[in-house]
Amino acid sequence: MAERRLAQRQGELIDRSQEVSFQWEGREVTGYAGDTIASALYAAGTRVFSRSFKYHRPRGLMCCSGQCPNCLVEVDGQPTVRACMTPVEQGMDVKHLNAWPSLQRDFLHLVGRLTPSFGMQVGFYYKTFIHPRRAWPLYEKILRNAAGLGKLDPEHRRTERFDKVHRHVDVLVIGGGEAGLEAAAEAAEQGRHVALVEEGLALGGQLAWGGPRSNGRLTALIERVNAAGVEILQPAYAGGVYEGLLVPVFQGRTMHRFRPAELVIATGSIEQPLVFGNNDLPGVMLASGARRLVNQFRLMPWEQAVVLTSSDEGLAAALDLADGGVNVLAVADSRRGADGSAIEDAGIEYLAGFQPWQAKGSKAVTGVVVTRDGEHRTLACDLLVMSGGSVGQTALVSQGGGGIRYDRDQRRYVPDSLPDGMRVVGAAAGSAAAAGAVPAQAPKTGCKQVVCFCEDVTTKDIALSLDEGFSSLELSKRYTTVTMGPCQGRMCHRNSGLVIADQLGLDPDSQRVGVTTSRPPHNPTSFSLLAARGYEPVKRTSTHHWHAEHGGKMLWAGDWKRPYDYGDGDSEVDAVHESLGLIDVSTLGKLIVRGPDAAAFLERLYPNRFGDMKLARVRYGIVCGDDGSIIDDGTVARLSEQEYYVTTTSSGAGGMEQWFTWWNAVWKMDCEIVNVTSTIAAFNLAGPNARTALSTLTDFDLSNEAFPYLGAGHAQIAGVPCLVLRIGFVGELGYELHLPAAAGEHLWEKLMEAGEPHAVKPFGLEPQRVLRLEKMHIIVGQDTNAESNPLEAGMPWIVKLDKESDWIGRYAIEWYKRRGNRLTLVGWEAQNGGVPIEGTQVVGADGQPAGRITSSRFSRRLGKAIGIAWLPVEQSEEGTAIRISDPKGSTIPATVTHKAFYDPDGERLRS
Amino acid sequence: MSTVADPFAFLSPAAAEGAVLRTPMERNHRRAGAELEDRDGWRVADYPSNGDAPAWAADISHHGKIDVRGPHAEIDRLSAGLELGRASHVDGVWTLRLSPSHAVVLCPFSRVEQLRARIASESEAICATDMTCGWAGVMLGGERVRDVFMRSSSLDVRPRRFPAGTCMAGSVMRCGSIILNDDDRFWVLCGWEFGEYMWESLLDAGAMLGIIPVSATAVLRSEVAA
Repeated sequence: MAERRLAQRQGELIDRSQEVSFQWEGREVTGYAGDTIASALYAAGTRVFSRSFKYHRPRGLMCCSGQCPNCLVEVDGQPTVRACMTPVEQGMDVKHLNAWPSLQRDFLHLVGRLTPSFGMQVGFYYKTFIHPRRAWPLYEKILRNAAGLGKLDPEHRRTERFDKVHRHVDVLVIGGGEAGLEAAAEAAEQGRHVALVEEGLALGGQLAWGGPRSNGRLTALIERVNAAGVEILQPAYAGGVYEGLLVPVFQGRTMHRFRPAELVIATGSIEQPLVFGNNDLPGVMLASGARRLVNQFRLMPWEQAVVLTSSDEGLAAALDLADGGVNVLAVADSRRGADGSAIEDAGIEYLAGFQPWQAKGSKAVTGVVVTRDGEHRTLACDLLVMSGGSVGQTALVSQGGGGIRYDRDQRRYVPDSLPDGMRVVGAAAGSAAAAGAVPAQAPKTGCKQVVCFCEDVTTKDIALSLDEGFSSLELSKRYTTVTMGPCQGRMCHRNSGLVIADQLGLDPDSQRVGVTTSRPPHNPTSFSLLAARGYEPVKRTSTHHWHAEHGGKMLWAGDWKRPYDYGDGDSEVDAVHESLGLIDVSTLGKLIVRGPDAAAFLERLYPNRFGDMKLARVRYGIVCGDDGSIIDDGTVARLSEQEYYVTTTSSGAGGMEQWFTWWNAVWKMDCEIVNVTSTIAAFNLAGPNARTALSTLTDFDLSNEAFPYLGAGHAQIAGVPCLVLRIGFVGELGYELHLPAAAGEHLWEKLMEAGEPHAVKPFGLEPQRVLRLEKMHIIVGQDTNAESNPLEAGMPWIVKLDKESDWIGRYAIEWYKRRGNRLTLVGWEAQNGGVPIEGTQVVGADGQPAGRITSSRFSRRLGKAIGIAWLPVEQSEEGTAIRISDPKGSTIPATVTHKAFYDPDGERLRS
Repeated sequence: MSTVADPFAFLSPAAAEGAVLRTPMERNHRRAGAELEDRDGWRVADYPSNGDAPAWAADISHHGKIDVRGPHAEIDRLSAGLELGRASHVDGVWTLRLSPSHAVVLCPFSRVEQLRARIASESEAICATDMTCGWAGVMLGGERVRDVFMRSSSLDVRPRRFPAGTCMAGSVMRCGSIILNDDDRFWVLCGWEFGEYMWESLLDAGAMLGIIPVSATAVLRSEVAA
């Protein structure tokens, strides 16, 4: 380790006094605190870090800044960790990805060797594995094993906590380079609350890795930022920019959801690779990557380097590396006429106009062939430093809604229009030094010229995609997957555009090639971080735990948890019919409508009439939309001249509150709407013994004479103030008790005690569904849909077209009335014991669909399947024989009925 | 029908006689080993005191709450001209001004019925509803109260934006809530049906920050005084 390090120098990130040991491929490696996994491994002699995605070519360090995919490894079971961005930790277990049986001897590299005869070029999946079709499952298995970056352990159980935090700041700066630090300090010095996000292990960007000359400037900037009170999140990265400048920032196991008043993008620029033969060999490195290793980690494990460049950045890199002690043999500059005097002054051979042709070597670089006008030069080296200039990191600008344009002067894309609240500074804004000449396309060689390092897409693949008709960058991207890998185009976006321009004969130095759409996440991000602590709001009634503790099978019913049944739904149905049952209906929506205009308001809202209601009475009502369709139903109780208590369906509670409030605001009526759904628990005590049982808990006169069907009254029951509604959704004598939720469990227990002599049973949702179906009571949303109007739903009696006031849906319903019904909602009973599936079709005489089953259950009491269906009017007469389709291929014979199946005259309800 | 002065008396747990009143979090308190003590008919959780916790949560669902709606001028008059988003604390009673036509009054449970009747009697145009068991309540406190809150809601509670004596309505743990800053102790009022979820979620959000459950009687000003 130590012998591969250069002498200690200001600006290095490592702490040589503290050694850190970890496992790499099962053997122990020791680095220094401050090392990344990559730098420590490099110091220990590792050159191959990964195998490429498709061809399994050996890959070594290239960018050393988290931009390329070459050093993705598995750390402590987590795949796709960027080794060059992850600090070493004592005891961590690091393994390779995507190689078998080992990283050094990967049999799967034979896939690459077979190219192109095996057809491994772009699109080979589609072209190769369709014959024979029956073999696809086998192909799929093999391909899935061979492809991908790492494997997830299906047995792994997460023990770590991941968190998400909502953050508000005045200014969020993404990027801790020179421009970002400047912007952050300036904003904080104005008294603004500023947070800065830096992905790397060191602040300062190029100031940090560009050599010792910048140290003074960097130190001063960091001191200024700290003095101004800037909050620094590091290492952390912005995963994207969403609408409203929402920026998820990932730091460790925490996702910070930033909503800044101002977003400053200071993401800098990214150095681009050059495209030439074997440009992915271990030992081919970006200039900035090599400089990071030398200047920040003090590594110099090379004997001899050659620099390949198309920009001044390569020249600067050559001088910096030479200054750091690297033996730079030559600089091949593809430009002609650039000033190479500084290079020559440093004693380095300067090869003007030479461009790279191909790197030599199999598992590592041993040399390079450069060419100019047919002249070839072969240079021996073990490090090839390449610099294809840099491009502005504008992906986050695009994601945030900004526009970008090609700037010919700078030869790069720069931000054009920005959304409110966004600012771009530094190299990302295009203010840095020009990107240099657009690199010319490398001459063809027999070697792979890799454009996309993530997906192993070569120049040949892109050319082939164009030949096959994918004739633009966006189309080629979809076909070849270029720019779609973990780097999200950082390393290949520019070069793929250049290859396409070359193939299509376009000017590479123009906007004609275009750009692809940038989408989040900007970096590979763990699902654990995205999920973090989930929010799953659950509504529980006041008796939730009683149900669960007494065998209730709790299931989701909308947002609520409700008991499906308590283990024996049939006996729960029987209990209600024969003696006594108790159900929790607290989920019903409940609204107070109160004020001088309350009656008039309800008259306008419902097709029913409510102004004529007597006090202490309840009436069933439906609510229609403007188009006359049924949107909800429930009861309305008149509690005083100006006060009504309205119930809605459970799922409709929120919507009805909005509906009521909206129309109240529109009509400017003198009434108030208060949603008391949360406040009130509600229980329905039902069955022939309901009166007897309830009487033991109250002095309230429950006799039929004093409190008849559809009555409403106030009573103190077991010490609890209740509104009692005498209604019956389940078809038996019943009392719906509405009471303060806090007393819910208390009263429930008292009711169960009072019912004990009558063998009371709690009943759940499923028994309730059977019971209501026996009475042919509809459920809005199940038996009706967005086109169901009350006339066709068999409720013409509810529609008061003679009301003086206008009401919502009146116009449409009048039209329906003039038109006449086309469909009718009817009951049916099946004869052969079959129970149709809800949603299935009624088959007409001609064998075509003629109607739809909306509800279907087997009623043990009635000994047959019963249900509700929409039928054409002409097939809906009482007694009409229909056939209902059965998934088994046959049909179920049934008969139409219009009367309730159970107690059709309602005698039991009114008893 | 029985004749009642207030047709909506059945909304109010204050009218209960001898009934056990429970908050939605009672099972959580029991599981956490808290004692349940009777307080005005409510079973209120009593936790061992721990004043040094960096963050704490108390179930204050039993506190009295009144929803007040009416014309702008009436609400202005009743709230003594409170600005929107501001809250006042007078004689043990909080008044929160949520919108021009909507205010919320928080008071000890023993005073809720009397106070509601008084507000309602001020004007026929005023609609005052006892929402004591319409909203479950959690009070968050401790040095790291904001850190807990930031893990629960996207609302901006930085001191500059949400100082003491202010209130707002918004989403906490994805539930519609009313939030009051009571001298850097946050009241979070949510639907009664969400009470247990809210309690569990807030404690989970604060788990890594060292949050602990505490007794309402130890943190509610009115009850501490009592």
